[in-house]
Amino acid sequence: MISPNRLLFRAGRRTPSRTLYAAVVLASMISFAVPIRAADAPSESVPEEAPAAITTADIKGVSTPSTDDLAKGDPGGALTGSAADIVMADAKKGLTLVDVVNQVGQNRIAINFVWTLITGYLVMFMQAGFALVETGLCRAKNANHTMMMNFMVYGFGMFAYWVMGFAIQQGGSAGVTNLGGLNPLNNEFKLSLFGVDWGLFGTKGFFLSDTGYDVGVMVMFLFQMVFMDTAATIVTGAAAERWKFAAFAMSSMCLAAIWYPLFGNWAWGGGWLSQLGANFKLGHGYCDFAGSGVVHAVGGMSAFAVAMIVGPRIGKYNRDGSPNALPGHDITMVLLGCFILAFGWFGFNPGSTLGASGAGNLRIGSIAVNTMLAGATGSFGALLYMWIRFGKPDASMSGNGLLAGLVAITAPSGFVNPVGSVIIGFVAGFLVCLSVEFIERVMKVDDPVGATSVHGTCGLWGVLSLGLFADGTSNYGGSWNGVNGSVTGLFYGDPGQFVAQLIGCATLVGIIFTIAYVFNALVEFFVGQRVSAEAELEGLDLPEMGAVGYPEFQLVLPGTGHSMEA
Amino acid sequence: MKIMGLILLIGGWLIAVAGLLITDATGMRMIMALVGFGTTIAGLMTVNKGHTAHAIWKGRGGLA
Repeated sequence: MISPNRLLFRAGRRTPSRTLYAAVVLASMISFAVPIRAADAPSESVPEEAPAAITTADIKGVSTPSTDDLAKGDPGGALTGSAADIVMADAKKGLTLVDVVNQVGQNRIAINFVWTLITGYLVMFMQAGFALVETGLCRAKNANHTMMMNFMVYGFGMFAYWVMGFAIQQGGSAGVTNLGGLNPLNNEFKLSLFGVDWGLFGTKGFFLSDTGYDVGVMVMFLFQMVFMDTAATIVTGAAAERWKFAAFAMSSMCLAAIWYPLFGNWAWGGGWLSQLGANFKLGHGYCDFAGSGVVHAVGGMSAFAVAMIVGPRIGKYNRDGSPNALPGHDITMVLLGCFILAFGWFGFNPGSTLGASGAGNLRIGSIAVNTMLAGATGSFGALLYMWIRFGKPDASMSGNGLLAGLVAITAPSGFVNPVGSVIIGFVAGFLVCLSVEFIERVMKVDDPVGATSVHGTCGLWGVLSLGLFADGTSNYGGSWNGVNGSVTGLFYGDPGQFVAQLIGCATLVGIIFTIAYVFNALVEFFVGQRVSAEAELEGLDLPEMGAVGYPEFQLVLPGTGHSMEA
Repeated sequence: MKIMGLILLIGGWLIAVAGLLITDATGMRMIMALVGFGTTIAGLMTVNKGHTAHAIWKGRGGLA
């Protein structure tokens, strides 16, 4: 160890003038520091006094700018917003301390309302990103059909979620203090088994009627609804270019009404997965900050189920099982869509605090940066994989890599540090390429946009990565899922958290996939999921939608050389 | 094959959850959860095998 004297000696030998300068600075620091330290130290002779409480009299004494002053204009902004703007309960009494305290409380909730609503609007805009990505990755003859699925899933999904999905998911989630408590949502259906309550679904908030007609509940509904729609729109990509529009409508409504809300309740609505920490001492229970599992893996599992049932597109596989590439028609749409999604993700992840004020919510800065970093390293990982494996930096897979990184960081974004985010995103970028190849070449499931890999595989990776990389520094009001302390992953000392995440993944694959599969098998039985071979060869725009996406184009039937008009 | 896959899917989840009830040891629970998760993935592959057995591209109708 080098002593301070030796440091001074070494410095003096190298630069005598710097030593002189340093000595002067040090001396002046000491001369200033001594009296300050003396003043800071508690005096033994003077007893420490508690600060005087603010009284109503103090508040009445606060000077406010006069009307005449304000009438002159306030270009500097120094006069606008003062004690005069605090709402008084009783004008005759004047401004009281109670008025001020109430205003502070309402301001916190107002900030959180505005934050949650605006981030919800950003998430809603992600629908446009999904529409562009999926349509761009499909062939021109299906542009109208693919775009319409992405457009109408918003309405179909929202309606079903309003009727019953929201109540099932959030009907027992009272206690969200960031949004004023959400006290009307106060009933969770639970089964008591093995001495433990297993929360299964909520029962308040159907149709947003009765006690659900509440300002806080409305904010929560809007935010949760756009999340659900993100999951619903993932499916349309995996089944694109051969999915019957009527079957799509039914499948989307079932997702929004049944299995998405169920898993949402188990993870976010106070259900059994979220209570694994409180009931079984597994960390903080299943944690999923913004929905790698709830939104993306649920969407990915549903997409996989539908893609299996619908079957591959005509021409995708040869008789020997080798796949053919069926390239999309517009890479500019794809990459523009990816950018829109990356922008919307700043609503998805930071917005999931459900507030910007109080209860550790200032972590939104770190969440936004984590989101940004993981997306970037995801695209980098995928680009690197494709460049090494195929010799070219593939554009569509780079876009998918960006989305994969964003999907993966969605669950852990609120609990990990930037280094963890970079690793999570980079791994996701590699993983999405491996998964696309595995699903296409080994499993022989045709997924035109890679939805299962991006959202399913990387969603599961995101859930697991939280259990590995959560660094134990977050503090959202001192507890999470009813367990005190910070969420901490395996690499930072809590293996129980990783177990909780594993059980979440087993539930996503074992239960959610099964429910999605069974419901879509029923749709297949009663309605039929797939269009006719003739319609598929012609392109779904005319047979399913009645109008082509690009009327000026002359589309040629693949393998025939005949135009559609012929 | 599809039914077998669905049984594996549900069975895998049951294995993962059973770990919570039969032991308090985190290591044992982790093993059970890993086995359960792996079983669900095997179920996924089995269901898919049921679909690819009669895949459209294996047919003789010229739709490959």
